Amino acid sequence: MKLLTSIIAILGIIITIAFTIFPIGNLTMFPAIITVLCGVILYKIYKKEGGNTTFPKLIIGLAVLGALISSGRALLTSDKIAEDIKFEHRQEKSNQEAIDDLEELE
Amino acid sequence: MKIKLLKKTFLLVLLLICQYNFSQELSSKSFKSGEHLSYQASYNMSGVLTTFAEVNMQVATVKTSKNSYLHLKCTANTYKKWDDFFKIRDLYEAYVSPYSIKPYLYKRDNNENGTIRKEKYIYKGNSIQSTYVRGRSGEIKANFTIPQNTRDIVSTIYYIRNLPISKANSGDQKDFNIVFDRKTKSAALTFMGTETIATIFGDKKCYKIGVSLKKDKLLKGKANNIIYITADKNKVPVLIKFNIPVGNGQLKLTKANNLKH
Repeated sequence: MKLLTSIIAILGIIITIAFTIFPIGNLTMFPAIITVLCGVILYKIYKKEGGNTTFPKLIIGLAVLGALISSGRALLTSDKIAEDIKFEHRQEKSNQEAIDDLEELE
Repeated sequence: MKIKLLKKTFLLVLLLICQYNFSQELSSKSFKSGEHLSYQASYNMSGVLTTFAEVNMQVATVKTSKNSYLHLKCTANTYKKWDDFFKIRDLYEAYVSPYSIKPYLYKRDNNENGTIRKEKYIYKGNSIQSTYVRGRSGEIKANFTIPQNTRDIVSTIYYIRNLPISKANSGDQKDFNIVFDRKTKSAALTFMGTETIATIFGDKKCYKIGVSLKKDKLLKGKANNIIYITADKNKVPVLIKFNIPVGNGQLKLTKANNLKH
């Protein structure tokens, strides 16, 4: 039980950190919630055994932090595209070349 | 002899009337030069729709020394937040007749995280003169034949908007050909009735059209890929739901400027 919960918690925190780095917004909540749940179970097990509770505390802390960063970023950053002069030039060039091609076609 | 001649004349007149009606039917009735539609593209990740790109569709008039064409331009840009991870700058263009939406030239210029893919199709009757560049390979030229009324992906979208959908019955199907990646693919549009959905114009009655590619894994099943087109004169595609082998997502209309009606 302890080993299985620890493995799930470690996997959960890895996915939470990865999802926090990528801008995928609220999706981070799923692994974060699972990690927190596993962290709480582990905390109870460790406390019952009278062991060191640093590991479950760290897991819970990181998961909560990841979830807060992701949801905060999802709320504060709007969906905007960057101004891309190179892409605009590509479009203008393409249009000019197309006109030349159409002239040739005629 | 006279009867035969009369029959032939009658057939010729009928053919001309049909042709006139057909060309009238296909003239750009639902959009005009200057129209600009913006979409938000989302991808379904474990049941959560994650926004990742903006798709713009613009119509402009382009003039050469002899003719004028409609320039149908479609661009896809990933949002700023995604640019550091996977940057997409895609450009798809079609130059079509302003009356029949018949394509004359199609161009594709994709830059997906540094991977370049360029294509150019010059329509010459029942054949296409193509030029393409993929990755670091040089320009490759190839000619191939196409069935009649084959269109590229961009002109097909605008062609669909000009179809007389209001006359269609639920379940009606229209087959057509699309040329993509230098291959002609048979596709089918299935009219799936109407549905009222929330759009930027408010709750709107929309035509629900299923799109499927025959004998192709990309767009399988008519109910998996659906285009919702407003049931008005503008026939604006307000929502496009797609289901491809690598996942599913949607394109939702966020801005619409210079609509015809």
